[in-house]
Amino acid sequence: MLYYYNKMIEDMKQTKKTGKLLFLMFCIFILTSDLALYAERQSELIFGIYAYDNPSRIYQDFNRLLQYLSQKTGLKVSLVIAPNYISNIRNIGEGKVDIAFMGPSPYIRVNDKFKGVELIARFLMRDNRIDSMVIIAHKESGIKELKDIKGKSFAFGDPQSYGSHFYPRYLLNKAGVRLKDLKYYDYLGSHSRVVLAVSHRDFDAGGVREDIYEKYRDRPIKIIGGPFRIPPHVIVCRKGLSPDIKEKLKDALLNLNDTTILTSIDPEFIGFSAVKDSDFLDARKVVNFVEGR
Amino acid sequence: MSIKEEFYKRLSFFMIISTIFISVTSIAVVRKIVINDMRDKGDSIARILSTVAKDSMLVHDYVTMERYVREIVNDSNIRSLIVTRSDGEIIAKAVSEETKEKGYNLRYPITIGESALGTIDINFSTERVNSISKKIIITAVVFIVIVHGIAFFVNNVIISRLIVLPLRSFAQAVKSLRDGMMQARIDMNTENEFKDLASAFNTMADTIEKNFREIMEKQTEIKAEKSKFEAIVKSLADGLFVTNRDGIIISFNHAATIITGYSEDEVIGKYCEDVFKTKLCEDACALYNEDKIIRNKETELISKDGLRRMVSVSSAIIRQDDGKVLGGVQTFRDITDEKQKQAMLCHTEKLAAIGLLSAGLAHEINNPMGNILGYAKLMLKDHSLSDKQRQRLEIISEQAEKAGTIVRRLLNYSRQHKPEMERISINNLIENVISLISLEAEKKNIDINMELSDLPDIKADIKQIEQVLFNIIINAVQAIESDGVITINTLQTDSSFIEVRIKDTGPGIHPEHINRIFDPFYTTKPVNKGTGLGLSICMGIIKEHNGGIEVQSEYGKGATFIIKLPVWKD
Repeated sequence: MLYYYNKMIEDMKQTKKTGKLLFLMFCIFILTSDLALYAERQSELIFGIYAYDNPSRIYQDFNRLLQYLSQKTGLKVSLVIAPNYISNIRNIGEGKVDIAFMGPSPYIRVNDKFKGVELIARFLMRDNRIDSMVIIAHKESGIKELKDIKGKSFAFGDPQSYGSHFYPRYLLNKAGVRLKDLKYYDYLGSHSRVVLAVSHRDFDAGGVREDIYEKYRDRPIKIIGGPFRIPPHVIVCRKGLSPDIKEKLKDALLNLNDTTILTSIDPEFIGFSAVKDSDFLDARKVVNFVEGR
Repeated sequence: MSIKEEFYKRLSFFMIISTIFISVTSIAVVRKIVINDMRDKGDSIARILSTVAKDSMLVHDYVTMERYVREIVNDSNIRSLIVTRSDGEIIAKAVSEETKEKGYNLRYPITIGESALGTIDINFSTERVNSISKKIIITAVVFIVIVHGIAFFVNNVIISRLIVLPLRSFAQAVKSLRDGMMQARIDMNTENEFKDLASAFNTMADTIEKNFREIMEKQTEIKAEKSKFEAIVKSLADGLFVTNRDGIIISFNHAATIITGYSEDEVIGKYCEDVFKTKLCEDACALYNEDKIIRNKETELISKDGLRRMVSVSSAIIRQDDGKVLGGVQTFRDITDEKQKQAMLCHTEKLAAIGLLSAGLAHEINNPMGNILGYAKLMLKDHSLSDKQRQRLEIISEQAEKAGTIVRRLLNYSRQHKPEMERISINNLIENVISLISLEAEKKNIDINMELSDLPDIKADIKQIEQVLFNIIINAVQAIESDGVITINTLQTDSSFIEVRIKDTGPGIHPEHINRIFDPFYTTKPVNKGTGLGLSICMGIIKEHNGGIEVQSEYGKGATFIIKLPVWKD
């Protein structure tokens, strides 16, 4: 841009008439660009989500929901898939996305670090599986309970994940197993990776949400701890989102009962319900405990 | 099978065989290409997946690998894809469907440096190959249908126009020629072999027409000659028949039909001897007589009605120019009547001689017999005669009277003077005669039946005809020993004659006598019972009346005398 600007200045020096014209055009360009951007912000909602699965799969799963929300709000709804939990937290916290789907610890993190993010609705799954987690181990690992994990390897999901990191850490700790007691451990980035890594004996054990475990329960894995209740997964909106849109969103989600939309996200998904910040009090304690606060 | 059908059949057969060959070859080539393509594709997929698998194993991201494996299997012809770690752990597996199909297998290693991390096993489905093969077969079938359509079109349009239509023109022209339309020619507008053929045909037709006309002219001449010959043959008064060299009749003229009673159709194709049933052929045909020319050979044949006819035959051999015998020609003339007339003439002359002799003799005997009778009568008037003398004189007188009667009859026969014709009713005359004879008939218990038709009057001498009727009817009465029937009927045979039939139930006349009963002095009666002149006189009287008399008899079953007399004409 600077290059073009300098070039324009030089050209202006050469011919005043041409220069004036170009300057005018530049001003018009700058002005119209801002106006267009402003108009675009008003006409589109950006839905943020983290890559808990392959992005193409996530897009495919959420496509119907996006169309539904677009229909209900009258706005175009686009999906932005963040590569990890932190990116998703930043996107909603910095207002780069208007609404976002996230788990308990990301919500706690964004609420703590970026004030003004508001809860819209929580996910409801059959048997509340999304609201519980389990500690799993390979069937042939010889691990029967949590304390047996000492000296074994352990797989975590994303470091910002409540179900696959904070709460498993909390449970291990409660069972007397600290990180240094483990043979080795790693953060694999997602619940699914944890399950498969354990099933293929890359790790002896791992912590995952119960609904993820259920998807792979035919694999050679077993539950050695849990299920444990964890706070809900939620949809939040950024600070400063129009109340009108916010209400429309809340209304649309809480009244969504089209099973084709719900089951396209997950066959066990049954809808949304209201949620409040106080639902995360215990989770905050766990996170603080793990982070040593 | 027509050319069109034959061509269609062969063209279709060729095209079908070609299509099948191309299809089979195509399937083989395509299968090879597709399989190679699958191998290349599988190789490529395996190479890429190997890299993905490597990364996945290193970062423990089996989710992504599973996803890749599943997507690859879902979106390709790969039936199963298995990623196996070097320790044997299957870390990703996707199977599209379980079938018995063996498919094609491909194994690709997952390595990092020189270390083997695992293997990728890919099993390709041959479904795509089969699907392509099926499509080729369907295409081939469609092609065959189209080919049939093309063949049909070619057959109907091109072949018809180029071959069938010209051939039909030829066929039509040949048919016309065959039917006698000599001016039939082919007008061929095409510039191909058919034009040459048509030209050759037309030249040939010109030649045929010329020859045909010449033949027709010759035929006309021959027909004229034949007609002339046939007219001559037909108009011949003599019978004529021609035989081939085997003796089979091949020509028979009208005169021959009249003589024999056989029509031409009845004898043509038959052997000469089978037709005539006599030795005519042997006796009078040159063919049977070492080629001799035979002239007026008298022989006989049996006509169709079974009568024996006397014929005079002349015969010669028919030869070709080279002398080879073709057959024989015979002319013959009926000489039966001629022969009969000759016999009759001899007989009449004999009778005339007898008559003359008898008249002379009677005349010479009559005077002395008159003297004998006169003197005998005179001597009987002498009363001095003894009884014996008187008896002897009476015998002389009686015998002299008898001799006188004979002489008188003889004189009557020889004199036979001209009848005095008048108009009389034959039926009335018959009734008069019957009244004279009925007494005699009753004595023998003979019934006399009369069946008399209405007849015109006849022209006759009443006394002479009465004598004839009396003579014949009394003969019939005498012929019947006892208990018999005499039937007399009259009828008109034609406008000129009437007929009187006198039939008896007597013993009939022996065949050896029947031809002589009208001869004078011929009698079958015992001596002194008949003179043998009665029927001879009857025959003479009837002939004088221009009539006729004949007898029919089957020996042992009676006899019928038929008298024909002329009708009175004003």
